[in-house]
Amino acid sequence: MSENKRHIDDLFRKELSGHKAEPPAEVWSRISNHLAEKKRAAIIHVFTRAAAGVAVLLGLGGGLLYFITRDSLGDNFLSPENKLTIPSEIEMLHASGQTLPEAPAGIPPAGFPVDDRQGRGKTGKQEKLAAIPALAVQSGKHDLHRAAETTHLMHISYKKPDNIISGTLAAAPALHTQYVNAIEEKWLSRTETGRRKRWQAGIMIAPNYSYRSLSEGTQGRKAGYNSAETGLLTLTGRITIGYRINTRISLQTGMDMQTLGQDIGRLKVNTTFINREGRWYLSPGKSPESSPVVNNSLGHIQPDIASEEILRNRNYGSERLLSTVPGRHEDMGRVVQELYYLQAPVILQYRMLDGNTGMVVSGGLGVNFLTGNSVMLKLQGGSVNIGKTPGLRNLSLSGILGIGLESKIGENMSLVFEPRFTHFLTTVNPDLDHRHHPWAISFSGGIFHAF
Amino acid sequence: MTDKLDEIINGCIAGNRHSQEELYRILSPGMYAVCLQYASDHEEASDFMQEGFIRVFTKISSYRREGSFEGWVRRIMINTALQFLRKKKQFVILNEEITEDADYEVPSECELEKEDLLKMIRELPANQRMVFSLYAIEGYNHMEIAEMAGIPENTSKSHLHRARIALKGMINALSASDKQRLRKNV
Repeated sequence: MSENKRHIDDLFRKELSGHKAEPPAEVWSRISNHLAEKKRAAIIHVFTRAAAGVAVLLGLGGGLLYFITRDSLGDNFLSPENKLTIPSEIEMLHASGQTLPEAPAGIPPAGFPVDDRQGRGKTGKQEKLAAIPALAVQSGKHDLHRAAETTHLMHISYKKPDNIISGTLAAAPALHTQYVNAIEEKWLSRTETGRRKRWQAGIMIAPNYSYRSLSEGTQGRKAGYNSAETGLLTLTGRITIGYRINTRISLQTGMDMQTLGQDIGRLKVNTTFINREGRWYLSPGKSPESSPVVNNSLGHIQPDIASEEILRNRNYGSERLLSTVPGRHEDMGRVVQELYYLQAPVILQYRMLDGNTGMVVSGGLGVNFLTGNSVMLKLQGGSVNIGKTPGLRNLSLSGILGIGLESKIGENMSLVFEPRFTHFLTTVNPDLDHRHHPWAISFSGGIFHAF
Repeated sequence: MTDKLDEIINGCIAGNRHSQEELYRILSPGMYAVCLQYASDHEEASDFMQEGFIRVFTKISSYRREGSFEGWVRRIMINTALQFLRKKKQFVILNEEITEDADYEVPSECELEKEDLLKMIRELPANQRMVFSLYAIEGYNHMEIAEMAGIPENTSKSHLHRARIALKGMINALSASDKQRLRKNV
């Protein structure tokens, strides 16, 4: 190496080793916000896990209790004492002096072994036992189906305890299926409740809270978006058509008109101006550097209002439409990003409880068509539409989960209340470094008609 | 390690916000300078800083108190920047012959400001910028860089070669008046 020359690596190493530079002040506030949010999320996570644990325990406990109770009827049938608990519904009817319903025609089904002592006795026990199939048909309760079946099998055991029980035991599974099917067929064919009608249509309306989850991409940017953006409360309308496959399972579809989105504060605006013949103009656009650009987690909003309008309105009352200060900075304004979706869901619904008020659990998938998006700049005196976010996917897929109550209010009408959770499975803007998945919680209320 | 720093680290392990802020205040100027070597602009450097410090605070309990704490943090910052580049798939695989007698020398009297040097580095493509910073400033060898960046060793050599040539070109391209100005500023 000549004396008046040196290696380029040495030049950079010597100058930049130990170099210090002051970072922008906002970096610490972003880190601090992120850490605080993480702490909150950890606390919520612990509570959620605890709640999930309690729910699982309750579910398991309830399930166990249900099976123990259900099996007790069978156990009674199999026990040497041949004792059967009379269902409380029957005891209540009997105690109040009402006439007990008689077993409907066709119950037990043809070919089912029957006892010729049915209906006799002084304590009323035989009458009560005979009323079980009728009640099972009326209510559709499976434990009563089982009780009714057991009743008939028990009558046989009374008649010939030594040889019939063993024969019945071997045939028990087939007999049970045959018996329950017969009762359910009766139950479905009832005309007085309208439940045999398989089709239903409904209309629902729901306050809808929507936000989004962000995944992948840099933590820094995501934390920045999370601290600047909040969810959006809108109204959703829904038309539903359902088909009842059997007493418990229905298939639903329809059309949801949804508005999802986010409220964006602490706007990051990049504004550049050029001077032409003494007048200032916004510099011409070259996406995404065209100005002003409002960055948000969904993409880059490029206001399409004329630059003159922005300039003219920079003193819109006491506010500015968008900051007209050149450079990259935070603006004091607020922007609401709304996405309009038409959703076609396919939902499987399971009815958990019987009676006039039932509990339904539903789950399925939705195909979402983006019908539009708008960006509104919020001002004290109202709001101004400033354009839309480009590059959004027109078709997205979402998962749907719901749990609700259904209450009959007439022969063919019922009221439904259903909190529903929707989460987009596909990212809305494929051009971003991170993935943006909107989600929404709606509390739907509506009316259904069976036909 | 000084008692004061030890105390701050303990506070950070306990999740004390005051300790975290204190640690950030002490280390951030040095770490921001590191981030500037790997980022294409100040905004990206801020992102590296934010992500890097969040990792530092999250993983600080795994620091074994062996060796320099600042070195440990610096390594996290560099890894954060590398991960970012890998995610953006900004590493280009190259395999070119580099002649032994390649000339990487610049005039000794060339006195440039730190900011000018950083600006030159930022003008390099991401992969050249990363390899040059790791090799020339941090002192990693090609085998280590290849492992860290997930690229072949020859690619690391090629990027370094291209970076040196590009930087040398930038220095030589400075006009005489610029050099004069720079000398004056010194």
